[in-house]
Amino acid sequence: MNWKRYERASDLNGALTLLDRAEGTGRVIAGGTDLVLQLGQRQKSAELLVDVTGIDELRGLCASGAWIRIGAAVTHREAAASGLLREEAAVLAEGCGMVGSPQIRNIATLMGNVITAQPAADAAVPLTALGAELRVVSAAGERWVPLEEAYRGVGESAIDATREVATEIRFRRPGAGAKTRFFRLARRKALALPVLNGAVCLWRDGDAGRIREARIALGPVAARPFRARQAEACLTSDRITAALLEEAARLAAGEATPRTSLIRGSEEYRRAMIRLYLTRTLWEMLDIG
Amino acid sequence: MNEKSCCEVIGRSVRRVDSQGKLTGKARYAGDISVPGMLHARVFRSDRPHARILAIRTAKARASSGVVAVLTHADIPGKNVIGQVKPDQQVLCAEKVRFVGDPVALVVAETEAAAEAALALMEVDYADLPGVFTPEEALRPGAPKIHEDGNLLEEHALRKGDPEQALAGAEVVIRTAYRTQMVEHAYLEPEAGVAVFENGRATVWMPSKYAHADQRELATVLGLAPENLRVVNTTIGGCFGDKVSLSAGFFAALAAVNTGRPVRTVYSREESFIATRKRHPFRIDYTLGASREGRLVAAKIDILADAGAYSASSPTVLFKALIHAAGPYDIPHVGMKLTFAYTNNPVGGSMRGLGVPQTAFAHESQIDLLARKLGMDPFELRLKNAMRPGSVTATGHGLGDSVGLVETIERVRREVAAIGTPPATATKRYGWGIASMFYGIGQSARPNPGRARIEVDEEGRFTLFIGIGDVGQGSSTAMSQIAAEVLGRPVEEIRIVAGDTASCPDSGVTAASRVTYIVGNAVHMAAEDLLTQMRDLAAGFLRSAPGKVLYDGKAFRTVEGAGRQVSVAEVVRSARQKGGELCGTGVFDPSYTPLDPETGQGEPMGTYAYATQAALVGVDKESGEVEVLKFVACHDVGRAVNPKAVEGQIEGAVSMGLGFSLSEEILLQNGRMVKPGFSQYFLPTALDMPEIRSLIAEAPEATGPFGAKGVGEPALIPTAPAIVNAIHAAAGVRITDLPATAEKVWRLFRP
Repeated sequence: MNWKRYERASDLNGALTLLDRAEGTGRVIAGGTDLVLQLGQRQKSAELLVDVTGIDELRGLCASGAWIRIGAAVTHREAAASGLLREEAAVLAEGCGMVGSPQIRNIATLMGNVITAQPAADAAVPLTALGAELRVVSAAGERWVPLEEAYRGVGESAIDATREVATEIRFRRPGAGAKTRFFRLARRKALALPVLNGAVCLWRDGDAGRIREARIALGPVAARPFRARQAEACLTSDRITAALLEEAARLAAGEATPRTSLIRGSEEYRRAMIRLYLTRTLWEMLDIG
Repeated sequence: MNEKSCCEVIGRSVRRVDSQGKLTGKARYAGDISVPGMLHARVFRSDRPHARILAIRTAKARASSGVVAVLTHADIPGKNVIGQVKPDQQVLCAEKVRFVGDPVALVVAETEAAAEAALALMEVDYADLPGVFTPEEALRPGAPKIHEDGNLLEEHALRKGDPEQALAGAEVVIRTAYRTQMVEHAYLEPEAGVAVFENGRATVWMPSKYAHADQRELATVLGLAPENLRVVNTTIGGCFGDKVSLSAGFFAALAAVNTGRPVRTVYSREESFIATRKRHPFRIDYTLGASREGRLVAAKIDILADAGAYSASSPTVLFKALIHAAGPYDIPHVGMKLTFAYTNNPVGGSMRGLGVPQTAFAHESQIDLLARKLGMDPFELRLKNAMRPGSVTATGHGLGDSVGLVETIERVRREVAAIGTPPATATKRYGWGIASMFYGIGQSARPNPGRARIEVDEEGRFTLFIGIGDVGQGSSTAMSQIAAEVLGRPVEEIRIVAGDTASCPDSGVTAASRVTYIVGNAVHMAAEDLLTQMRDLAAGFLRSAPGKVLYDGKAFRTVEGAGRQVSVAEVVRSARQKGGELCGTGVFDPSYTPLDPETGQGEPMGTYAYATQAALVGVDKESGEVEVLKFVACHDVGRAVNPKAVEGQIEGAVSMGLGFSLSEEILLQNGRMVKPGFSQYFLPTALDMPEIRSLIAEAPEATGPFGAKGVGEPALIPTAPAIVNAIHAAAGVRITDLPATAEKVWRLFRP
């Protein structure tokens, strides 16, 4: 293995101190399911790995006032099994349940799924739809970063894991009247990155059927989890009809930018699948017809 | 052979002899072996598909920390050539590289990390040559030559009757072009080998499907007499047809002989994908003619295969394809042409079914299309034309009595009817597809003797020696069962030594589903031979005639005089006192006649296995996604030596066939593999597996041990066409190009 030291931090200050002393040669590790491979293949480097999964304050997954807070050490298994998420933000529990295999879900963290910055990430896509933000702490202080601003490119996070610790993910509780749902198309039923995944969150007003707000996140159809904003705007409407859903799905397929890939398929197919899966998902969520 | 009605061990699902070691982690794979003072060797491989080597500069790698040696072609003590059928491949390339992954040098270091680091310091100057990446390009006039004598590796024809005339007169003709993809064996174990060289003698521990052949080939490379090279088969972590010739053990041995120190080589998964042999991609142009009543009258089949950069086992694959490409049907007129071309792609090797899964995809798709055109039930059409005792194959081989095809079709038909087909939903359509096959057991039209030896010690304990290791299919268990049955002992009391060239006879290769039939016969003969020797001696003791001596597994006694008996141990001790060793030997080589080089006519195999499989699939009419929900497989294995092991073979094969039909494909861009490794190579997972109903048919083979034939490859052969035919039944579209990815199916839905 091409790192020299591995330290398990017991508190946040300790982790920050270790990173600070390493002067850019240290790196935060949580589940490590991506990072260890990347280190092995020399896509990333580190002299010192600072394991943050033993820090108590990073462990919680809870509702707190208007927010749901997820600590940086929370695993996909914990999120997939969380009663709170199943009740209030099912899209995230569903997405987390699709990642890799049980072994990977037992160790990989949601925060890692964001920091690894893959546009197909099954936790990051629902978090994008949920409007999540990240608390990032460094020696210089702390800041909140909206999830959509946490990406610099494919595989490249805006969070500098050599100097900063992302401690927490939070998003507003969707609340009553919200409905959320995840969908996914992959080459096999487990252990496969998706050809397409998506998260839909809808907020409706009363019984009138009006959609007050819609958020749709898709992956991997752009360099980062992609918000289909034209489709969202289209759906924000007083009159929900089948034609409206189909129009929204058509817009989403048009505004996403999937590329032809030998493994994931042609651009044409991938756009068609965005349209198909989104139509189906909206249809099921809105229960019309 | 005898068809005993009182078998104690044969036909029973005894516990596998290898299960405890594998389940407890005690089984030792080659990568687990560690020898004090051991070095680590890594192969430096070409990153060019086709290039002339101008210079190999090793100085920087040699100077790297921990590096002991960097070996090139100049360091090969013997002959720098391999190729078990046609010697056309170098162990370490000297003048030219012919595919991405061709070995150029060997870095030997104190640690794996040091070897790995030194690989990055290797410098090779290449002059790139134009690459050839399809067999069509390869055979075009003026194509860049991959080998001196051109790109045509092998070409053969078959002619039975007058196919052209028969097709011209056929009432219904179906002509379709099929393509199959390159796939990877994907064994779980990383390939590895460990070698020690002392006092002019080398020992190599490695997984091998044919230790004696590896011994002969590697000895010439190392410049050793074969008796100075011992190959010891380690626990094999999956084989699926590969694992012979130029494996990790070859490189470990080369490094050990050069450095004088023990050496281990372990391939990374990525290296395994890039460097090892693959299933040949086929293009098949298939014309099938029939009468309006559904009687097959003629088939004309053109096959073009991508053999990759070297010949490896291409000739073997070609002949298996030729013998079977017309399918398990009695067709009076058949014409075939098979052409194998070199390309700058990964090397085509042996893989479960040896070309027959490819041809079965074509002939079973054709039969299905014909049934549709005629409006006939696909079971009925198959039954109408199915091989029966006395039928004549495409090579003109008149079949004997062990032809259980009709039973397999009928039983699968009943099972499918009992399960039924789910009704269509708003988005999903369901359908069953079926496919049949026949498969010749053993190597085609050439000698392939199997040998076995059984010894007994002074405690009366038996040890079976066979040259073949268990590749995971359960051969050591089956062989032990056969010996145990004859010797009247429980399986666990038969010790087995398998695949050690120092002590085991050459049993031939673990391939072509030949082990149970051929080596099993040899084991049967060896056990009978030993029993006869012991009985003769016992008769002397008991002052009786051998014919009047009874054996109960532990002792011999006379038929008449109760109380007079002599134990096996006493017989052995007495023989030894007289300077004799008791040892039973057996050799079996199925009879055959060679194939005529012009017409491909002959009787190439000792016997054939038959099977029918059916798949129930659900197809999403809008996304093209296919899900296999249920699977029924019925196999005529002659006699199931171990029914659970037969089921295991079937279930494993369904998984493999599912990948072949729906998801697995080695993707190449100009000879370079796209994302080599497991993460982007879609082997089916447990969640993708359907519920499987395995049915065993037994049409006993008179020349087989207790009537047994084989099942290893047959289990895989009909799987892909059954699934593809099911897609057609469900969704009305025909896939002719494997794998049937969701996108391909979706495209067929579009106008």
